[in-house]
Amino acid sequence: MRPFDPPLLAIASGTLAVRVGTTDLVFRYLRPSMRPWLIASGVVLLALGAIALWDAWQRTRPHKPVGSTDPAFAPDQVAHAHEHHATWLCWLLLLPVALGAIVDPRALGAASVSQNRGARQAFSEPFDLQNYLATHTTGGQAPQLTMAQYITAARNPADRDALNATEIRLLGFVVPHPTDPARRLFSRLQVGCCAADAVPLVVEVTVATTSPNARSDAPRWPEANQWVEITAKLDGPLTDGIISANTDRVEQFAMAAVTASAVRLVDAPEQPYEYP
Amino acid sequence: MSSRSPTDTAVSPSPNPTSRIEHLPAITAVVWVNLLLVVAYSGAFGRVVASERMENWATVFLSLMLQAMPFLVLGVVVSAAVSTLVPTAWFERALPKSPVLAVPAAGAFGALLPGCECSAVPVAGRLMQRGVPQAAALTFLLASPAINPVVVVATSVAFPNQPMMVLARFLASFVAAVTVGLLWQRFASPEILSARITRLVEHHRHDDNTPKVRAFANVAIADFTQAGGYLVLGAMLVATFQALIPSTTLDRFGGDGIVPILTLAALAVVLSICSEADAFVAASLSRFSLTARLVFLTVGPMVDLKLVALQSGTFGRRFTQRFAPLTFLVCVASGVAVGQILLGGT
Repeated sequence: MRPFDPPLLAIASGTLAVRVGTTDLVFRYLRPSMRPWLIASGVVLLALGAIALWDAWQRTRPHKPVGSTDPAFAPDQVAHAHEHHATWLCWLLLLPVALGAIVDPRALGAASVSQNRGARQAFSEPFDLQNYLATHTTGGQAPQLTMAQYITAARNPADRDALNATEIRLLGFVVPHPTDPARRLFSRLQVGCCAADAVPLVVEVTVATTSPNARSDAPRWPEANQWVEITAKLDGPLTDGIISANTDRVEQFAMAAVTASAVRLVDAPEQPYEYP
Repeated sequence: MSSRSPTDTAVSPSPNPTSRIEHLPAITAVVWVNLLLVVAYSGAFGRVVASERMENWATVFLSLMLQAMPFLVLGVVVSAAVSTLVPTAWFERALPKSPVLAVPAAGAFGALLPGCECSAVPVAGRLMQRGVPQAAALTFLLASPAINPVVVVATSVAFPNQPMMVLARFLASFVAAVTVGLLWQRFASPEILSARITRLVEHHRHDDNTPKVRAFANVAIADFTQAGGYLVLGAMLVATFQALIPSTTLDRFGGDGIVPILTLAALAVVLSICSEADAFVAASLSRFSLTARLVFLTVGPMVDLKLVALQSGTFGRRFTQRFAPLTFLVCVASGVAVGQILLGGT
C-alpha cells in the first residue's frame, strides 16, 4: 500500500457519503434521522483524508531523505497498517463508490417484497385511531394512514369497526401476486435503520367497480412498482381469513385486505419507505 | 518498534524523486472514480442494471455501507484518539488491575460508546495496543454494540408490550460479553492476538515532533481503509445472502424448541442487521418465541458476517476462527438462559 492510497480511498468514500447525504438519494438507503450523521462522517473523512494526503506529500518530498533524523519522516509513520496481509482488500472501498456512480440503484421495490414474504408482522407505535380520524378528516378528503398504522389497526379489535366504516387513503407500490395474477397487491417497505432491514407491509385490494362513486385511474391493476394511492375501507372477512391463515403457517403474502373505491396513479414519494 | 529495519523500509516510499510518479496511477484512479460519481449522479449515465434483483442487491449493499459509515468513522476517530491523544497512564488508572475485575469494567465501558458494531472493532484494537488487557478489550468489543443507550431505547420502542425484553437483552448481552472475556482470559494464548496487535502502526511517540493532528489523521485513515475493505467484503456477503435466501424458509422453523432458536441465531449471523435496528426486525418475527428472538438480539451485535469480516481484518484469521464460534455459543447459551428466567421459557 503506497502512502497516497489510504487518504485517496478515504476521500473517495467521503465524497460518496457527502454526495448521497446531501441529496434525496439518502432516502433510498437510510432512515432520515441517519442523514446528518452520514454527512458528518463524509466531511470528517474528507478532512482527515486531506490532512493525511498532505502529510504523505510532505513525507515523500524528494529533498527530505527517509533516513534523516527527523522522526516526522520516519518510514513507519506511513499509514500502512497492513503490509503483512491482504492489502488489496482496501481497494474494495472503491466498489460502493463505483456502484453508486454506475448502477445508481433505486429504492427497494416489488422484487424485494416478493423475496421477503413470510412470517412478518407490521410494527407501529401505539396510536389513537379514533382521535386521529376525528381530527384528520378535512376538505372532504379521506384521512391518510401509513401502511404500518393501517395493518396494526386492522388487527386491533377496538379499531376494526372504524376501519370497516371509514375510507382511508393508503400509499404504496404495486406488487405482483406470486401465484394468482388476478389478485391485486400493493405494498410499502418499513425500514428500521437502513434498507437492509426492510420489512414488507402488503395489503390485498379488491377494486369496487360497481360502486357508484368508483373513480379509478387504472382499469387494470398497474404494472409492478407503479406507485398508487388507494382510497379504501377494510375488508373485514378477507382480513380475518388472512390473519388465521398466517397463524396457521401458510405462506401468506398480504397482512390485511381492503375494498378500494378509488385507485390513483401517483409519483414515487420523496421518502420511499416507512419508518417505525 | 524498530523504525530503521530493512523490512520497514521495504514498504515505505522510496526516497528517490520518481516516488511521486509511482503514485500517479492510484491518484488518477481515484480522481476518475470521483469524476464518475459526479457525472453519474448528474444523470449523464443510463442505468446499468441487468435485473431488478441485482439492483436490489446493490441497494442493500450500499445501504449496509452507508449505514456503517458514520459508525466506522466514529470508531476510527475514537481509535485514533486512543492511539495518539490519551496518555497510557490513563488506561492503567481507569481499569482495575485484576483481569477478573477489568473484564466486567470494560463491559460497562462498552455501554458508553453509542455505536454499532463497526465502531468498536478499531477501538478495541487500539486499546490492546495501548496495553489494555486483551480480555478486557474484547469484552468492550462485544458489549459496546449490544448494550449502549441507543440500542436500549430502540429495543423498548420495538417491544412496547414486553418491557422485560429490554432488561433481558441487556442482561443476556452483558453476561455473554463478560463470559467470553473471562473464557478468553483463562484459555486463549495471548500470542494469537499480540502478534497482530504489534503490527498495527505505532504512532504514539511522545518524543517525536510530528504534529499531533497529522499523526491523528494517519491513524484514523489507516484504520478506516483497513477496516473498510473488510466491511465491503462483509456487506457483499450479507447482500448476497439476503438476495438468495427467501425468508419463507423461516416459516418452516417457527414454534417451540431448540430448532427455531438456532434458526434465529443463524439468521442473526447472516442478516448482519445494525444493532440499532435489529429489535424492529426481531419484533416482526412474530412466529418465533420471545426467547428465540432474544437469542437473535444477543447474537446479532456480537457475531455476524459483517462483524466477523471486520474482526479478521483487524485481528487476523487465526483469532477469528477461535473467537467467533466461542462468542456464538456463549451468546446462544446466555440468551436461552436469560430467556428462560425473564421471558417465561422457550
